Amino acid sequence: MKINIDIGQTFLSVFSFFIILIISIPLVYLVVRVLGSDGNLLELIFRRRIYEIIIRTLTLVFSVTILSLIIALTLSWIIERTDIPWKKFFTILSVLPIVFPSYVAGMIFVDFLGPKGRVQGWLEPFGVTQLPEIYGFWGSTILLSLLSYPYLFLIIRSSLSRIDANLEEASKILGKNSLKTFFLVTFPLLRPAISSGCILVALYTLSDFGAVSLLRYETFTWAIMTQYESSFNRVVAASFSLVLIFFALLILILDGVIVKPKNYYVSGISGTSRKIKLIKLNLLNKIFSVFIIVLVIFFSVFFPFYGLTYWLIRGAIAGEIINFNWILVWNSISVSFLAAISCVFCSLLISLLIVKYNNKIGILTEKISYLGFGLPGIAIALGVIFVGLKLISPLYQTIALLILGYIILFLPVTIGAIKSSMLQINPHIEEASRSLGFRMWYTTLKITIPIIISGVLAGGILVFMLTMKELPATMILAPLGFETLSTSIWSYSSEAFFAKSAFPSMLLVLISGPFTAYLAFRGYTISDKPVKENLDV
Amino acid sequence: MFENNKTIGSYHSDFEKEKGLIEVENVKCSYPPFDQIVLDDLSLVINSGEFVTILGHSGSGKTTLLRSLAGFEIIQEGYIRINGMLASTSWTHLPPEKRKIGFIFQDYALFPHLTVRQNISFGVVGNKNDKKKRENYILDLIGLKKQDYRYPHQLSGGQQQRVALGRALAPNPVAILMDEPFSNLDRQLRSSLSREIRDIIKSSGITAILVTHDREEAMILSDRVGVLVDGKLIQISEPEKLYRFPASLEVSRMISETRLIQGIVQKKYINTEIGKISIEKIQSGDSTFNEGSPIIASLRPEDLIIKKSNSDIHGTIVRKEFSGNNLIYCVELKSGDFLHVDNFNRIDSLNEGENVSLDFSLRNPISIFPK
Repeated sequence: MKINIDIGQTFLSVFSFFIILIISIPLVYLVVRVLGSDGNLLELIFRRRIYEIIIRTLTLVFSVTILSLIIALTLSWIIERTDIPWKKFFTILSVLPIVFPSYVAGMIFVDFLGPKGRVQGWLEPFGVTQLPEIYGFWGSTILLSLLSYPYLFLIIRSSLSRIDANLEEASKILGKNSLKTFFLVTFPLLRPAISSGCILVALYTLSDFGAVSLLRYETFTWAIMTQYESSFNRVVAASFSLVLIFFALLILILDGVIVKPKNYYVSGISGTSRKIKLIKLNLLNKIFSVFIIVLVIFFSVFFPFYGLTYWLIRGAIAGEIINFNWILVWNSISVSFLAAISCVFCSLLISLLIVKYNNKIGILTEKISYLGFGLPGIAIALGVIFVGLKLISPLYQTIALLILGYIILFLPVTIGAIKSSMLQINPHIEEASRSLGFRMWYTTLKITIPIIISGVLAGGILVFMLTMKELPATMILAPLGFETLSTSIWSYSSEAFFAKSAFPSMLLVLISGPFTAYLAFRGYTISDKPVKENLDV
Repeated sequence: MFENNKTIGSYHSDFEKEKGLIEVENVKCSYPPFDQIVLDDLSLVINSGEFVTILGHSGSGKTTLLRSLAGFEIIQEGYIRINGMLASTSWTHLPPEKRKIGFIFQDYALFPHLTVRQNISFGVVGNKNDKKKRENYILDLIGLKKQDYRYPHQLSGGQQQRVALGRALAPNPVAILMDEPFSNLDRQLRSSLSREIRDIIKSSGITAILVTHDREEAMILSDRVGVLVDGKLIQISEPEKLYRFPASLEVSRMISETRLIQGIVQKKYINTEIGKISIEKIQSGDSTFNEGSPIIASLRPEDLIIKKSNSDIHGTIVRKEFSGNNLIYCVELKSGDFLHVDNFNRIDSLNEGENVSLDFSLRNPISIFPK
């Protein structure tokens, strides 16, 4: 029996090590490729132009993070702390922008607010012949903020609802009004949530490719793609990727070292955790608060849906739906399914190694896999393509290479979900089942699998959805002529064929949207429930 | 028949005519959505420097009373006046931050992101020097000067409790309200710390209102104890008066251990299964009784004695409960009622199944209540 376990562990360790190689070789190879290139490397990377790109990228990351934070804080505070009506409705709508891939939202944004766009057309009778320029920095900032604030909103909202009501009351009874209480007590207590939410938004902005390229704001991702597609010397694209990776790592390190929040322990063990008294707004303030929420939702939810529907109908009349190439859907679904299955399979083995054996290689694999989550897809895809070209050339220009890229990008999602569901299995449960006379396989079938199945499904579905939406890595890694929903939407919308791209966009939003929103909700609200409950006196 | 109220004292005698520091009059408070009444026509006057405890079971409304005083809850009827200032009525509501009241929460609600010193100085206003002076004074008072740089999670339960007290005292409030402040502490710590807290409060001369469900805590700490049942203040008085002259069976049972025995009112005495109680020893609360009416007499444990007997048998020992410093016999009386009798001389000469004789050794007035 003992020998069996060791064989199992050895096998899993070898497998884990293999996964580490798969994740790290592309990155290492990227470095090797850049260092080994002829020509003066420093000159290559530190040409004048790259400074501009760095500054543009960083200003965008900074401004999007700040603007999203302002939007998210305002919305979540109004919804959690005041007595405005229809809170559930507003909460769901506030999270809804999460369903739009940035290239879809970007397309609609241009359609509405671009020069000679829809809004300008509406305003034409009033003598408006020109709207403020949306291309460039401001347009990108606003668009990306509207798309990424929901991540912050969800984290802040759940953190706000978990703050002990007594703390804010304590501040009031000590003489501080609502505003002072917010800045002296609530905000400091939200800081951990805010910093981790800001990291998410910063990484999202750093790796976004669709929005910035549609709005023609040259950040790293766009620069990498143009270099990759146009020039024959791919070393430039690779070196840009390295700089991009450097900044992503910098953000991740900032997260771990500098912004690492102090662990605040809730004082006292138990007590009456009562609902926070909502601030009673007068009618004017109530209308104003609702107006703010509606304003944000108008731009982030209504515009995209309205625009998509409009073009869907226009396209339908023009026969775009009848002529729609359904092979795109099949392609998308099949690669997404393969990606999800592969991620689940790898994660099951790695999680088993971590949970059952507490194995160091397993834990290392999990840590390294988080790179895929933090690093921009475009950089990882470049690394993979280099490896595909040189080391595993039979795989070059095959679906397998594409799937490999997806695994590197999305493995942490399934590892996270499956590991935590495995951790729920109390070893005693399995022992109890066996002590009751059931064999190992029966125990596994009746106890273990039912417990982890929800984690497996959640992780798998999430990978499926993320793959459906993924754009830059798909563009780079897909074999020639292999088109998916996302790449076709991209090629139509970058050429402004709105009627053509409306149908696949709507399909994508409708298929992946509900799941993305559901998982986003679940992920942030169910975990870490407060210990104190039901002790009301 | 009994109208000896003169010897008893009236239960609401503590309702002073002069103005108190905190005046609660005819307050009604209910919660939406069903308008469930939590405080029902409640009146209470608290004088400056007093330590008053409100004793009640969970759900009795004691926390709501405290929270209305602090301004966290809105009242529907009546008024609350604090230090001569109208604080709550059905039409006005002074927000908590303007009431100058200190509040100690059940879970302390210490700010987890602030140190001990910062927690204490949170509510203090004034220039830097005055603030520092006040902080130091409070830190000395609660004995945590050396730990002033620590965060709440680095403190023990007792220390957290003292910080909560210090933080509430620091802005020099009119009064201090405490919501079950000792309920999170283990038993031994609770009794020592509660005395310590009381001493700090008494030495600073501040008015204090405590709510608790722990009767010992209430009796030991307070100048006066109020008994709250279903949102109504049934009786408020000094602990000893409450003990000796409870207004109702409920109060009697909430204040201390009772030994209940049934009886019938006769001309000069109460007739019970184990003997007669002379009328001089009886107090009857607000009620009057006619001859022949059945009653329940509420005795204290020390009012009963037990002895082995062969002739004058009242019942049989069915169980013995030994708890270290006490030994209680559960006796089944001939009527089938059960009565707990304490063995105060601690010589355990009696066994289960033995027949015993019971007797009164009346040290307290015996309260009788209608059956």
